[in-house]
Amino acid sequence: MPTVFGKKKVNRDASASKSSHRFLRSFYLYPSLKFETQTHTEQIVLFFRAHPITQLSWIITAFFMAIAPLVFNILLSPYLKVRQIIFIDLFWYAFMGTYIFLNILTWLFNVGIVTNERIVDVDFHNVLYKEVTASHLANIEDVTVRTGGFLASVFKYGNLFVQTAGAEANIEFIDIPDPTEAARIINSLIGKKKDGH
Amino acid sequence: MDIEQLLNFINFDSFLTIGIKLFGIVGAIFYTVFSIVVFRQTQVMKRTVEIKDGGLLLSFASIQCIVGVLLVLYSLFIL
Repeated sequence: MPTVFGKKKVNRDASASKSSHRFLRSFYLYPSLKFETQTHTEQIVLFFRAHPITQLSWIITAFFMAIAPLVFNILLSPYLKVRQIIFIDLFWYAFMGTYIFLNILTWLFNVGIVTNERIVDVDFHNVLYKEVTASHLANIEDVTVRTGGFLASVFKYGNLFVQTAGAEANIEFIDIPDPTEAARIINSLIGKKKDGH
Repeated sequence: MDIEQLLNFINFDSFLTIGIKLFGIVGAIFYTVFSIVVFRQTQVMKRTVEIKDGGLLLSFASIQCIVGVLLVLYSLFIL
């Protein structure tokens, strides 16, 4: 039986549902993806990461890092040998490559996952520290959407806060695309869970 | 070796060359170690959330490790 989320009809039946994504693959409905702690009965309904526009700051930084050697090669050339300048340039671009790669990894793997049973927040802090927070839908008390600011309004992104009951940790999803729709889907799943479907 | 010869030997250029060489070797070794850590962490990330990247991320992580080794060799033998 199809369920209506806003204007879109989304079928919750795994076999019949069709995977779709928006916002440059940062907002998936029924993705054919898997995660580490997924159980056999669990199906991913919603999968999201930060809106791509929020990554603009490091992209701009990387651009300036890419053109910086053009300037400091000219400044350093009277004092250094050619092989030294080549090494500094190679080291600089290797460092820049790592900077870009780490930012891409952080964006790709800091994700929120909503399944038919629970909500999972996967966070990698500075790439090296992993934190996975999960809460069952039955334990969710409140879902809050918070949007604000010029860019957030134009590009339709914001924060989603999930308050849980008892000792379970509250979950925060920062700068996700279309947080209102995400909240609507979560609330609908909670309602369905509480109704005992 | 008298004082004048010693001062000629320890001039600014020598210090700069030695400084850059030391910085290059230490920096390249740190970079290589960090690249290996990033490679391992990429594997952990891909296990945590399986995304369809066609092996691109691990390839890039491997390239970083190779670049790190090349930088170490460059700093040791060419710099």
